[in-house]
Amino acid sequence: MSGSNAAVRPDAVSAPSGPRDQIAASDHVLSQVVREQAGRVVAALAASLGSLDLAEESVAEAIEEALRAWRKGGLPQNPGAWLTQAARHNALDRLRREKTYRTKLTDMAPSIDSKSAAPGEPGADPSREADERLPLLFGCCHPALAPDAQLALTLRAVCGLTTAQIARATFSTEPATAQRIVRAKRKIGATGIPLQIPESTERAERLDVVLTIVSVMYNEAHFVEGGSAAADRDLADDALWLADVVAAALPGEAEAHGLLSLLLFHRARESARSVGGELVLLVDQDRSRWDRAHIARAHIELERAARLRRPGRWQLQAAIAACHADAETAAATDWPQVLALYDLLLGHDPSPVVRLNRAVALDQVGAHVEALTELDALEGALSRSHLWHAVRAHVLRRLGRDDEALAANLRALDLTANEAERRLLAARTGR
Amino acid sequence: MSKYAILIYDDQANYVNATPEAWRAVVDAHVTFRKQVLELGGSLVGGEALAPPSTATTIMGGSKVTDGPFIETRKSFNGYYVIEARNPAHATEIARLCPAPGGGVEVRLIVDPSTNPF
Amino acid sequence: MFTFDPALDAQVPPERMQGLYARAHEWYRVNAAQIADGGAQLQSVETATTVKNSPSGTVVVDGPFSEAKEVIGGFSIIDVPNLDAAIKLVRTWPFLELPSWGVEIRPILTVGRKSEG
Repeated sequence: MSGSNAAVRPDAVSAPSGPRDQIAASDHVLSQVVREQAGRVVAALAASLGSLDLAEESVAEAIEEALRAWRKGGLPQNPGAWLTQAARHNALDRLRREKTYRTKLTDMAPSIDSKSAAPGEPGADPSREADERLPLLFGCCHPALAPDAQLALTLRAVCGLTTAQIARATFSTEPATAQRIVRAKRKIGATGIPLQIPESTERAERLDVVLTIVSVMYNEAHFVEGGSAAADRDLADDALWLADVVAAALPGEAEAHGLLSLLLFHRARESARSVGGELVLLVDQDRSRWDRAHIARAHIELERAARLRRPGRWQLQAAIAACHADAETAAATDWPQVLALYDLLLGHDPSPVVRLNRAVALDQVGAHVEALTELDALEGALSRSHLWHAVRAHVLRRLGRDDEALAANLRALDLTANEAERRLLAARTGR
Repeated sequence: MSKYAILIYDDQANYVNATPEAWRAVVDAHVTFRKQVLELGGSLVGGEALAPPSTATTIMGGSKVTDGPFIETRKSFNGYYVIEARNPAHATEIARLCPAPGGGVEVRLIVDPSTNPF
Repeated sequence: MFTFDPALDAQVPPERMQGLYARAHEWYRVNAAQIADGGAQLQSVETATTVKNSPSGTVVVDGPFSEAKEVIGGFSIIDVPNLDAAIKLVRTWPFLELPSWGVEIRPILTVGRKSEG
């Protein structure tokens, strides 16, 4: 098969047989290839059809076909062109079925440039040119959509996950996930949510919604109800990839670099965070297992953000993560600096979770009473959070109030639904 | 004559899964109602049908944007008419005929913008 | 659709309400190009009469249809290119300074076509 007709329909792809162990290995490559192409193909098709719903359904179907065909027959030379072709074919099928074929077909006439949808080889750096996925991403993360819908739609339309993958990753059922995506797309169509990068006056606020979803995507991979700490690395991977795409496409947005830096710092600690399925706290982590390459990249992104001189909550969180990453031992952590950064962060994000983390820093600089006062002020907002009880238990122990500390730890244990965190707390309470 | 708004509330279920025929019947019922307004001596000033609550976006005080309607109700606000009627009783007489089989309608007097209601 | 909680509104000092009301008037004037005819500002909810339909018949009762404490205060029809433009316009609505207020944006149906919802 020559390169010129690499973009053929899946049913025309010949299937050279390969050893089984190669098939398993290619699954990872397949999802990387799909992720690199999906958002571009959806964006291009949505622009030419004027319907995100139709574009997204057609691409999702093409991805399912591609995964089946490529798993069997290997990757085509130009996977982007293959997906574009298959998605266009599916869109035409759908339009025919909807009997709006004649009117819409003319709209498809300016054919999609297959080159724009197929930027490079698998694993290559994402294009540093204007990225057509950004308008799509801003549309998927529109504040008029519920946050869980923003997340599900972004995972499908921008990252190319299948509905089944999203359902597993977000601990939802497949029908519920499908329903959430359908509703979100209908709302985008019915209300005219534009697929565009917002104008400058609204850019910062809308970008924060996007960055929040990317951050949620990363965290979903960790706070998994009834899961184990090593599970679902993929979603964290997707989040890191997406943070990179956003920062590369919007190099002048300090917060985009801030979030990328933050996620890189988190990622660097990933392998030390979970040992044999057990969650290990920051203080107890084997720091030699931290990924130095990730930490170096995180610092570069943080410096890039700082040079833009527009501080924000993601940069401050990254700066706090940097304090931990730079400490050779837990005891060497520059806690006064961490506390100063949390004080600044409060100005951008006075949420109870930030105040809880600031209380930890207060405790660490020796202000135990002040830390407890702050924790008690958060009771109304956080008394249902196991973390609040766990931190409070720690501070109470420092103050020598051991009975109250034990009671707080037991309460934390009752509240946590995450298996790995539950085991960690159980070890501390002797249960 | 004064202006009144007829706010239409109905069960979403009656519309979401309506067959094309059932939807046609809903539209026809409204065409009939608009004729009846005139027959009863009122007049029709305006009116619109709204897309379902699933398409709603709410801007809250303080300007936060959220998904969904401001007021979550089982019977949702689906549309309205603005009519002219002689008095509240006349407006209610007209409103009784407004189609809302699974819900009802609320009749409200409209503020004359030349006077300050506060 | 302008909605609010009348109980909370009653706590706002009258002078502030007057000021907001004047600015709302100004809002309509400034944005006239985007505001289509057919909107209405409603008298307070005490003027409401409700007709309720059920399989067992029709009843007329005093008061609003909904039992929620928030009520509809009025609505305007705006003509804008997309939801972002609608949000941008609505955010300048003076009464949104009050935490008890909210503005709900819904597309208008072209009657005769069934919506997808």
